Amino acid sequence: MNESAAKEQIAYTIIDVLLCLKPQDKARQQIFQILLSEGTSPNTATARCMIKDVLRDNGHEVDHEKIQLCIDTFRGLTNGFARWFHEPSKDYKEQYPARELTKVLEVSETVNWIERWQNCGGKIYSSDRMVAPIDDPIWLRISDFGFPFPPFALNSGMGWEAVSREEFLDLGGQLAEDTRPKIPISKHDLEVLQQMKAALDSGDLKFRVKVEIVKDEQPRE
Amino acid sequence: MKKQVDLDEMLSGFRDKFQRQVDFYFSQEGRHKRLENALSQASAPELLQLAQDRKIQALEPAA
Repeated sequence: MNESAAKEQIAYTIIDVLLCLKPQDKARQQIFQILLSEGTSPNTATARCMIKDVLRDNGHEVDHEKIQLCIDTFRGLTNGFARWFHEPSKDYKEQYPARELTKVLEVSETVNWIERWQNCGGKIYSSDRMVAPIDDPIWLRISDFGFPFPPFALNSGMGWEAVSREEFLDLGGQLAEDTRPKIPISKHDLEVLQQMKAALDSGDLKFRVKVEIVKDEQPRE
Repeated sequence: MKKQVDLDEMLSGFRDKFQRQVDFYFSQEGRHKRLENALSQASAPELLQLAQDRKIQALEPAA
């Protein structure tokens, strides 16, 4: 499944479940188009009015709370999905190997996140900070939706923030071996090493140890 | 490849999980829990606003 097909499936699930629409409903596709065009704008008023009109025109009940939740959830999950799907580069992961679960939107939370984090096996660092490596399974475990990206619960303002290697290690975090910076070896270095090894194996090259004797300046007793 | 498998698995379970969350969120128990959380997380001005909103709601049927 490609990115746009997955995004479409997420969007239609949100629309169907929150607005109680059936697959054959005409309103469904119209709302999907509204969410695509207006749903990512910071001002959700236009999208809200357009969805309300579509629901009314198609003889459906209008519930303002559910419409707003539909827009917010669409926006959150499609953004989170895009960030997860386009995995950060290796260089970025080396510089920012961890993420912190933190409040990114002022919303009254229905979940006690510290409790959930701990129950899911997450480590709490100083100042109640919830930080884990990018690929840690905790990100999947804390989600109510079964996705390893935010939002992790309905109407939640908790999201991700990148944590640098230095900061994570300073906090006392541990990283898997493969994310540690490696000393870059150039193609030229490799060729020289291979030639040296071959020469040592064949006997063309021998180790020579230079020993230098220096005058001992400290008088011995 | 692994990501593709993960994605297919996640998406196949998403509808049921999302439905359960929405059902709970709008249930009486869910609404009660949300109000409780809002009260515990609210600042003094927000608490005052919540109390005023409830007072207005309580007076509405009598008007």
